[in-house]
This record gives sequence, C-alpha cells and structure tokens, in this order.
Amino acid sequence: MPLVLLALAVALVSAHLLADEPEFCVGGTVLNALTGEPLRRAAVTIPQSAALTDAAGAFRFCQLPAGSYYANAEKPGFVASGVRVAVGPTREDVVLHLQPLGVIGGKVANADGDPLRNALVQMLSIQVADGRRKVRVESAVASDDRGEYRLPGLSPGRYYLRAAGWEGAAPDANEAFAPVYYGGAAELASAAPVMVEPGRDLRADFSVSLRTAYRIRGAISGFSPLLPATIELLGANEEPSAAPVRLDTATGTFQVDDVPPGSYVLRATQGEGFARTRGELALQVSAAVNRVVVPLAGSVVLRGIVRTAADAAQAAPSPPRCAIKLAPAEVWISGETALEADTEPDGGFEIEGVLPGRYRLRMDCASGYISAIRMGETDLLASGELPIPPGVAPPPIEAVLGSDGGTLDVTASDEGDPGPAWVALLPASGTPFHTRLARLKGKLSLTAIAPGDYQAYAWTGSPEAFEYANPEARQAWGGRAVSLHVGERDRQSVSLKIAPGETQ
Amino acid sequence: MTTLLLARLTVLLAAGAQSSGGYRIAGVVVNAVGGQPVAGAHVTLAPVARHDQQASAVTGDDGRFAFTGLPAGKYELAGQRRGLLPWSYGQHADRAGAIVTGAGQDTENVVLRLPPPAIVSGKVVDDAGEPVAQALVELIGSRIIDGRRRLTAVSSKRTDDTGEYRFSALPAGSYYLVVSGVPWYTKFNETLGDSAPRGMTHAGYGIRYYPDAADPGAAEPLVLKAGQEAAANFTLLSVPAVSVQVHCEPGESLTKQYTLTAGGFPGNPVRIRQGSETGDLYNLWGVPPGHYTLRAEAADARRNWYGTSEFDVATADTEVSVTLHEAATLSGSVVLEGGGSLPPQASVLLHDETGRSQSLEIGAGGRFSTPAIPPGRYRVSLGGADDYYLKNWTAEGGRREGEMLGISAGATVRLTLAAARGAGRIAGTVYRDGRPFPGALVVLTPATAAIESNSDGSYEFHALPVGEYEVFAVEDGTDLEYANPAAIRTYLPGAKKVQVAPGGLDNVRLDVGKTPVY
Repeated sequence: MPLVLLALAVALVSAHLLADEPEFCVGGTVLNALTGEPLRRAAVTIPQSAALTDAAGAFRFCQLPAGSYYANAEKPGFVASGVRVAVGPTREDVVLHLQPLGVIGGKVANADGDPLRNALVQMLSIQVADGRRKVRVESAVASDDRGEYRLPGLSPGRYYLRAAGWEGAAPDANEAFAPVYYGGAAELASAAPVMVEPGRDLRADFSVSLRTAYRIRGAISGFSPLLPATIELLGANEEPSAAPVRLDTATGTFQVDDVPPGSYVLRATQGEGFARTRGELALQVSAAVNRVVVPLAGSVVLRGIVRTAADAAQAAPSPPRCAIKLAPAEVWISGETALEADTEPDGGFEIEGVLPGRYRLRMDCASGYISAIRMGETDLLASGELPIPPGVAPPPIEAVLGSDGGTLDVTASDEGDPGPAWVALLPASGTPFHTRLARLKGKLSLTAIAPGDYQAYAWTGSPEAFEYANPEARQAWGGRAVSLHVGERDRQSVSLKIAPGETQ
Repeated sequence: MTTLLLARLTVLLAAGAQSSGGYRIAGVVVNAVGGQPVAGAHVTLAPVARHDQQASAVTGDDGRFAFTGLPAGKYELAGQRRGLLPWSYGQHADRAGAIVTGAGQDTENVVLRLPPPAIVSGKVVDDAGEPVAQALVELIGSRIIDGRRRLTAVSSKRTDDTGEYRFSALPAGSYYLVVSGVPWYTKFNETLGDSAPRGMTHAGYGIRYYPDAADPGAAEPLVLKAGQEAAANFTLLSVPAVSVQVHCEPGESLTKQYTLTAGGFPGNPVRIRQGSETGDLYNLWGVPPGHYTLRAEAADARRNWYGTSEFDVATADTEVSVTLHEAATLSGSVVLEGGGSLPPQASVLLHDETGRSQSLEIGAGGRFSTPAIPPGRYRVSLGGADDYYLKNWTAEGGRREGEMLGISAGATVRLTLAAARGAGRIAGTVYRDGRPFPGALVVLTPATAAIESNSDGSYEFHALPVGEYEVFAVEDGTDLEYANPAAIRTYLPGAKKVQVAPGGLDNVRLDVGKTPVY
C-alpha cells in the first residue's frame, strides 16, 4: 500500500512538471531550391536563437515552449527564405528551400579580341516612377587584366548591361569606347534586356571598338576650396560617362581623361543642403578641350500661389490645399531627391534649395483640379516640365484651381482579377496635372477630376508595371483601356476589368 | 602627330642647348621575355629632367621607332603597350640610366625591353572547403628602397563570391601575401547578440601568410619572374574570436575611416580590417585573440583628424576607445649656408614610411608650412634643388629618431633645415672588359647614393659636400642593399677612394667584373 502511494505521488509530480513547462524541439534541413542539395553553414534563425546547418544541411533547436515560430534561413549567394512553424509537438521535418541568386560574367575585348582591362560594366534596372522610366545603376564592376568581369548575387529579373571604358596604354594618345549595351546597341532604348534566372551563370561578352579619346581640362568658377564637390560628365540622354574624372578640391580645376568624341554636358555641384551650388556646360568633344569654365550658381527659391477659380455656385471658395512635388526630370537616377512643399492657408508655397536644371512639377490638390498653371510667360499645363535657369530667381508659379470637376466611381468588373489593383486615369490632353493614379480595393471614388476625355486602366501588382506616361506603353496597353468623358460637376460610374500587371 | 611633336621638341632643344641638332635615337621595343618585337608600343623621349619637352612615337609592325633631329645630350626613353608593363630604358627597380647622344655615340640600335606583368591569383576557402568571400588579401613587396630592403604594401584585394582574388600588372620581384577575413555569419552578433551560439557569433579566421603559415616568422616570399603566373591558395581556419566595440571621441557627425592592423612583419603590421562609420561607435566582430592597433581618420571641411589605439584581445568581448586629434601643423625654414636662396622650384619633401611623400613649397625667406600632416615617422629631404643638399635639421615639437622625424597628432612642429650648395662632383665612366658599360649600379659611400650608368657607361654624382668618398660599380645591382654597410662590405676593397674638393673630379674610371667576392 505505501509503495502504491509513493508510485502515484511520483507520477503526479512528473505530470505536474510536464504540464507546467513542456518543451519541444524544431529541426529540419536547408536545401538549394534549384538542385535540392543540402546547404551547409546556412544560418537558421528563430526568435532569440540561431544556428548553422551541418554538412547535411540539418539544424535543430530545442527547449522551446509550444508556440508558433518563424524560422528563417540565409546564406551568401541565396535569397533568404523562411516559414512559420507550429511547435508542440516536436517538429523534425521543417524544410527551408533557398533560391540561388544569379550571376552575370563575361569578357570585354576589342575588335581584335584583345582583352580590355578597367572597362566599367554596369548592371541597370528600369524602374517606373510617376508613369515614367527611370534607370538605376544596380551594380558596377571593372574588368580585370583578362578583360573579365563578374557580377554575382543578382536577384532574378530583367536587367540591362552596359560597358564603357578606356584603354590606359598611352598617356597622351588614349583610346576609349563609347558606352555600349549588351547586344551592341548604343542606346538604352534599343538595347535588349538580359534575364537573370536563379542559380544561373549568364555569360555576356562585349566586343567594342576603340576610338581615339580626348582630355577635357577646365576649372569651376565660383568654387570654394575644401567644400565637397563633384564633376560629372553626361553623354547623350544624360547617360553618365565612364570617363575618369579628377578634381582638385583645393583649386577647383579638373581633368576628364579618355573622353570618346561626342556631345556632353559637364555638371559641377558643390556644397551640401540648401547651400549647394551647381553649374552645367554643354560641349562637343572632337579634340582635346582646354580651359573650359563651369560657372557655379546657387540654389533658388521657387515661389508660387494657388488660387481657386471664381465660382458662381460658391459664395466663399474653400482655401486650396495642395501637395507640391518638384522632381528632377533626368532619366538616370542620380541620388537627387524630389523637393516637396504644401500650400499655406493663403494658397502660397515656397520650395527652397532648387538648383538649376530641368524639373517636373506635380500638384495634388484636395479641393480641385489645376485648370491653369504658368511660370511667368511659360504655360506649364501641357508638360509639367520646368526649366530652372542658373543664377536668377524664377518668376513665381501661378496656378488656378477649378472647382467644377467631376466625380468617377470606379468598381472592378466581374470578369478579370478581383484583387486589389491600381487605377490610372489618363487625360486625352496629356497634361500630367490631370493624370490620376489610385489604389482600387473593390470600389473607389475619384473626385475633382478636370472635365475632359480620359482613358481608364486597371491592373494588379505594382504601380510600376505600367509606364503610363510613355505613349508607346499606352498604345501597347490600349486594348485594356476604357474611354470616358467627364463633364463639369458630373458624377458617373465605370466598371474596369482588372488586367494582370506584370506581363507587358 | 608624331612629326609635329618631334618638330616642337627639336625647336625647344635647339633653343635650350645652343647646339647643332642632327642626332638620332632609334631602335626597337621588344618583349623582355622572349625578345619578340612589340608593335604599336607608345614610346616617349625627353631630355633628362625635362619632361615638359617630351616627344612621342608609336612603334611599327617591326617594333621599331626613331627620334631624329636631336641635339647632343642625355635622354630618358620609356615605352608602354597594352599587356606589358610600362618600362624605361636601362631601368632597374626605380632607377634608370640615360641615353647619351653626341659625336661617336651609337644610338641607332637601342633596345627597349618591356617586361610582361607577373600575376598572382588564387582562392581562399574555410576549413569546411567553402569559399570565403570578402577576405582581404594583402600583397606586400620586398624591394630595395633608398638602398635598404624594405617591405611596402603594393596592393590589396577582396575575394569575390567564389573566394577568388587576382593581382595583375606586377613587376618581377619578391612578394609576401597575407590573408585575413571574417566569417560572414558573425554579423548575427548585431541582431541576435548573446542569444546566438558563440560558435556562430564569436568565430574568426586566423591570419594566414604565404605559403601556409599562421606566424609571420614562417612566411616565405613568393618570388615572381617577369610574365610568371603564380597561384596561391589559402585555407582560413576558424578560431574562437570576440567582438570589439570602439568608442571614438569626438563622435559628432564625422565619418571615420578605421584601419585595424595586427601581426605582420617588423615595422610592417598587416592591415586586416578596414571600414568606415559615422557616429561614435564602431563594431568589429570575429576578432581573434592578439595584439592590435586601430587607426581612425576623419576630415571635415577645414581639418583632418587622426587617432590611434593599441589593445590586446583575449577571450572576452572588449571595449576600446580612440580619441581623434587634429592633424599636426608643421612649419619651418631653410637656412642656406653662406646666405642666398634656393631655386624657386625647390621644396621640402616629407617621406612617410609607406613610400608616399608630401611636398612643401619653399616661400620667401626660406619658409615653408603645412596646416595638416598625419601623425607618423617621416624622412626629410630637399626636392627640386639638384645643386643643394641637406646638411642637418632640427625639430621643435617633434621627435628626432635617427634620420626620422616623429610627429604626434595635434603637435605643432617647427623644423629648421640647414642646406648647403654641394660644390663637389664625381663623374666618370664604367668599363667592363675595356669597354664602356651601361646599366651598372654606381654606388657612392658614405653619401650612400646610387645611380645607373648611362648608355655610354658614363655616370655623374653632383652637389656633393666636399670630403672623402668611396665609389664602386656593380654589374647587376638590382638586389644590392647599397645603404647597408654589411651588404657592400665585399665591394669596398675594389672601390676607388676619392677626395672631392670644390669643382670636383672627372674621369673616375670604374670597372665591373673584377670585384673580389668573399
């Protein structure tokens, strides 16, 4: 009898302990998603712990209370990946598949097959912002003495490859080649993309023609010694040149070597923040260029005012509330950020720190549409493009807000994808101020639409899938558009068929 | 183009030398290995020390070139071609002899040898055989500099994603290779801290020296011949390591460049980690036990800043601090013996220990200054003043360590240089087997200067202090530590003892090939 009691007591105690702190393990393997091979020394992390996989790709964590854990695995050369695992009971079967990244490699050689060292190979991606293409340099590398280059760790996707460079064999009579895209195109517009696929080594060789190249020498005027400064040489379509630039930050004199013949813009920028100065100089290179002077000019303040149009229907128009964005018009992303401002209660606005150059102006107003906008004598309504000349304060921007806009109720049609989508309303007039982009989740009301003819589009995925400011892209998407007319103070409904966004 | 340049050169030379022209320097550019003619090589010719009067030519399919209409004189000839190293006529290490034109000189068959580059490449893996990406591979050259064999950093590379590295365009010579790295997974130190296993966040790689040593004493040089392609693979072994947190004062918004050095060779620690950080903290992971030096550098619009910290790493995570000091300022004056002033192009040169030098302009009253000089040890010399020599110097605010000037961060250093016009001169010709011999190394001691004999065997030391010297010539002096008394001892019995008085000595004949070797 006492024995039975004791046994019962032990059983009770151990059951109590187990119920109080049950502990489990989670284990599994990390595999190459493409080949199925185990990955050794992959790092697996769960909240508050981490481990490296062994030679068989295995990992194991123990002493875990029951719960839901997110297990993440990573290893250089692979896309990190994770899964949520419910633990309690113990799990030993977690498999994490890691997608290998892509690699592009190749050789840069001249027409005779001689390798070219120090050629710059850039990988570019195309992004779409405000319906326009922008080019971003994703990575860049120089070829070695065998002309070989290698760009590892690439996420799968569509890219462009561009090579540019020079032949440093002779200090006086250098040769260089104009930028060339993989496939031989001289411009991005006609270049063929390269598709990077997971785990694939893509080979992309360049054969280039060397031509005599020239040196540009000059000075920046208005230069302040010791302040950070840059000189950029931009080729056709504002493509950055690969020519090596040397700037003496004590004197502001500079030298650009190995410039192939062509049309260029030299751009000098100095200082930081609102104190920045900039100058640009267009030049034609067909021989050595000496003693060019790039004059620096300070930034200016762009001022403006938005007024609400006189309206018989309303005794006291509501004050305009607009968000204003001034973005560089250049196609190549250079690190210049857009400048933003909001209207004051009186409709006035100020944008500080505007350097000379070309810009695009956007205005999004809560209470109406832009019915007229000008800067001095220049009508901005059609293009939204704004030149800021160096050294002079630009005339103020005057915008008029129409309050007789229409309203459009948008719904997703039964056919097509019902999921969240992007809707673009593109005016037949082409004015960017009347272009509307919005997120559609079942139903959407667009208000204060400028009266006129429009085409409406809807697509899934990202707003970047559709380059809607490009007439060619609009033509390609033409079959998906719904044409409609918005009248003054009109309210109408439209049902849009949502197209898959990622296919072009 | 070439014709135009030649015409310009001729006019300049005629105006300068008051001499009737008409000499030629012609020859062939060949590959130094194999001797094949090199077509399309770019060849430049300039009167000695007059690079502003440079003429250029491109070799034809037979590798030949010719410069015509030259006045009598001494010329420097250099060539370059894609795939070969740029090289000068008569070049040995960093010295080159000149080509002498004039009556009786044969300058029709000059051979300019361009050496093909040597290459070192290899792969770095860890003890599991996995490639180590981003490992730092340092290439250190062992060269004769100022007459002594010294180690200098030549280049450094990071391995790519496959663990591979490659150094190209190297001249033949002796090199050391040092590899260091950090296991990629130590980065979890930042996000997971102590919750990750120490084997993951507190691992490091021990430094490896070529060929396969953990200790610099067991390192061996890799001797590369011209055109040689050598492979050097490394396996980095995982060792327990710690984290080092660096506090930098003043933190402010300065962007600091950090360099961590350790181990290495006497006077030449190995740069094993580099990074930059804004703010007052900098974290280093995967640091194996050892003795380290951390250097920090920063610059704002007006000043440069420097800081150094030495510390030992054992088995526990460590915190160290570095204090940035403004760069030292240096000013001073040159006093010329017997009065007068130095030529306008004269400058004061400060050579640091890595072989870089800073040139300070000498202004009115012999004064010179620089607002910012990094802390370190410098050798002081005069530049652009061929007829003058530095007799002595004193420094206030700096340390004199033998021939070197030690400068600390934040110091205000005043240098006083005593210079004198060198009235002495020794000139002559080197012979071998009774014929003038070009390309010999001519060594002068105790001034311990060395020059290369010219195409006609001639040599000349000038601007020497008057006194007693010994001078001798060595047939191939490429590897001779001519400033090392022990290294030149064997040559001294065959040396000419000369007494240099003002005005100097001409026609000091030297012979090579007769040196007794013990």
